[in-house]
Amino acid sequence: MSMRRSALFVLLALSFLLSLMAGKVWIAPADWFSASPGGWIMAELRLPRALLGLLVGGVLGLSGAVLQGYLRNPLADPTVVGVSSSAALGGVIAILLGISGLGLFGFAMVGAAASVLLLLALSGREGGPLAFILAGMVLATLSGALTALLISLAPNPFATSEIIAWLMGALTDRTMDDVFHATPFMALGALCLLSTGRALDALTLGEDAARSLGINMTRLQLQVALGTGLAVGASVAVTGVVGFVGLIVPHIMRRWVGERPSRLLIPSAIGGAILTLAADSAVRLIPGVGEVRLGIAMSAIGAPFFLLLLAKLRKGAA
Amino acid sequence: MIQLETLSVHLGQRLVVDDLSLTLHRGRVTVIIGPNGAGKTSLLRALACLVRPSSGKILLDGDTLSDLKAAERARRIGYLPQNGVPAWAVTVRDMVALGRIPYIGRFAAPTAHDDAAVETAMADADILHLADRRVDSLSGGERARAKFARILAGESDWILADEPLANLDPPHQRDTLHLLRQAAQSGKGVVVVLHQLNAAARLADDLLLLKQGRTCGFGPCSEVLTQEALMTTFGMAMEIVNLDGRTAILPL
Repeated sequence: MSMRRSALFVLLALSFLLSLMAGKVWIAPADWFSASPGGWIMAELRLPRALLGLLVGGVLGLSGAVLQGYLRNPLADPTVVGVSSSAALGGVIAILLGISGLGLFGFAMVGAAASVLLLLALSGREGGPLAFILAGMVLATLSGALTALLISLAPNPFATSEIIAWLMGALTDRTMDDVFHATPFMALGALCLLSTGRALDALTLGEDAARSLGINMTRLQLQVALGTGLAVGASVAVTGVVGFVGLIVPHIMRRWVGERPSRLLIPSAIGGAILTLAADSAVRLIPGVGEVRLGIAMSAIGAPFFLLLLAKLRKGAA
Repeated sequence: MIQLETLSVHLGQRLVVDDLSLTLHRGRVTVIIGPNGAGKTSLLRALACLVRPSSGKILLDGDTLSDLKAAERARRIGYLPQNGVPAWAVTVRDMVALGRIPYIGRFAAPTAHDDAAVETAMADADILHLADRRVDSLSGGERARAKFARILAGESDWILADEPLANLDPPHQRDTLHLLRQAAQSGKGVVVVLHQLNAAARLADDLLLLKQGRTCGFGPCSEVLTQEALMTTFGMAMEIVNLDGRTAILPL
């Protein structure tokens, strides 16, 4: 077990290094701290990009594992409960208003916060995981529709293309400012999410069993909603929507460290970071004029991979 | 002991437990029987503090149950729900260890005593040889024993079990009855909802007959289990026969 965990850390370090070095210009470690153009690219472009990949992938993987545990459903991820799409809606409004940078970040966080409040209000005080996922799906649909409406109302084609490009999610041209904006929210959210481990374990046996073991379901719901809102909201605010990480990473990690929910949390965070860093390195290396957006690449890699996993799962069950 | 004082429970608008007052004792097995919808499960869920009584109260050794902190209550009362299929294929040891949750802090590691309680519980339920198996690879009978071990690991004074015999074949039913009886002999209070009348007659020290949330009889099994009482409770004639000291109930 501990060897498997160590292997994850090694992979994480390697993919972080890869993300620092890979691109149209390869930068060898010798040039990292030099005054050469390589040193400048490293400090201004690669480092913030790699750090964001690490953080965004980490919180996506972690929140996916928490949501799957909370909803007792292997198909759950942050997009299902509406947080991603509400944050994206906030971002789209900011772009339409001509706001960028910290302002856009703020709008996306307000969108995420609104989704958390609505999620808690709609699923009710006594509402369990079932009410939570239904409320989440309503929110996701609603904010998706509002986003589509705003795109159709965009004043000019440039705004439209800017919105669509942002929605597809990417780590291109991010600065250390983005890292500084997102980190406190992600850290706070991750703390909320990591503190759910014991309750998620108890939920393995169902809601009644968990409550009879002394788990406070109202509090758990608050932790899940708040943690997802803060962490995933901040990740959408800096990169747009990157799907599939939260869905597939916990599945891969279950095969690697076992299915107990609390033991899945940190490995899923690490796995999410590895996958995001690797995919973001890959999109830089694909030859062509522009760069494939990370969100698209992730879905393109993720969907077939997930099918493969499903096929294996079914073979195992048969 | 657990005392119900004029306990009523509503499910939505519907009254499912109606003004029940009685006392349950440790060291005895109390079996609750009654037709579908009689309020058996609701009563058990109220005892486990999963539903709030609409009036009346439950006293656990003199303490009002709803005033206890959740972890404290969980340490004193173990609840085995009906047909729960584990959501994740954890190992048997991990599942049994869930019973220790009320004792372990949110971020604390299990103590040596926690680990020992898990091993003892697995030994008592005779599943030590399955400890490292995944729960999805167990047979129905093995899974039932593993779930029971989870309750035992909690070292609670009380065990509440909702239809623990459901979906078990006769040998595994016998094993489960044996585990319940053993728990009562070790001084725990055991409260069981059952549908199998013969099993109820065999297991029960005390029998609680429930119909539409009201009691149709409560007391030592030998006194309460009569053909008249069964007729009133189930609205169906049944014959109680005695075969070499064992009671059998035959529907007519």
